[in-house]
Amino acid sequence: MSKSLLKILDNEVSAHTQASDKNFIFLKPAALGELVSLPTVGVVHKNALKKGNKTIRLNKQEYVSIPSSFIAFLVGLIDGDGYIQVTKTSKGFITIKLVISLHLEDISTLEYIHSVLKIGKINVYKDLRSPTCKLVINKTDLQEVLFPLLIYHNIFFLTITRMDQFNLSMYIMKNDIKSYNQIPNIKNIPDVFEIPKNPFDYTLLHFFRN
Amino acid sequence: MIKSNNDGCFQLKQRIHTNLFEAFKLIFNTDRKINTTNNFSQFSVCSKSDVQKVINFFSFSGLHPLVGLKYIQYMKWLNNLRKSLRYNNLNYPDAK
Repeated sequence: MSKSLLKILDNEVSAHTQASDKNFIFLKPAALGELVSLPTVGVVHKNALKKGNKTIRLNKQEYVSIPSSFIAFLVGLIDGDGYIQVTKTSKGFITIKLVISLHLEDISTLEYIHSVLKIGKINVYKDLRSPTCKLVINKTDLQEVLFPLLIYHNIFFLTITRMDQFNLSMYIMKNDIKSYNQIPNIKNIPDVFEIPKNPFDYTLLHFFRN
Repeated sequence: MIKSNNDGCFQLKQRIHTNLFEAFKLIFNTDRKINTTNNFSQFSVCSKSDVQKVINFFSFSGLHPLVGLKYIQYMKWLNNLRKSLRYNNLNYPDAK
């Protein structure tokens, strides 16, 4: 199938997702041969896609080919050394970003992740008492790439804090909440994935060993 | 890590999460108790059979390999184990 047709289909799915009631639409291989798309989570503002750095990103079709073992490894790393930041801007809006923070001597791990995903920016803080490097992934890339990949592979965070942060971010994106004051209490945020309830159920997760 | 008495040790520690750490015991098929202090859980194994399970997990399982600094630390750990009287007859991956 030609790249242009892939792009058209990709755009159609994206537009359909935005127009529908924030539900996910998955194109399964059975429906479109080997074509599988990654539906954007919520709505991405058109200005967010104008910035120059989008040229680096792979197209969505290529993201689907990233092995699930890599996604499982990445989610485990974020569980341990990352966080999803949801904060209020000075004008009362919401900032969402995902950050993986490591000691500077482990920067090669961030470079490896960046080389595979082609999203995010690596920042170095070498003058701190403990020199640090961070991979920061912005909201648009979370909506278009990372969160759809987690849903596509059915891979999720396993620590309660990270899961809460993920659920909150997904809720804000899916409901297109703009103002920080509109965010409901964390207890009223629905779970996207269900964390296992006992140790044995953890071992049954297809991605647990990674 | 290698203890001062030359025992090779594999430890995982993070903020307390009982079910997750009990699941580690199932994965590594060990009865070692999870140490829980100061709001942190710690999984730790040192015996020859448990260390072999750890090596099997990271070197012979076909899972996503360790990367970056953790991979380097793991390789150094394996090299130390290879030289140790207690662990030198375990099954190791080919040295690189």
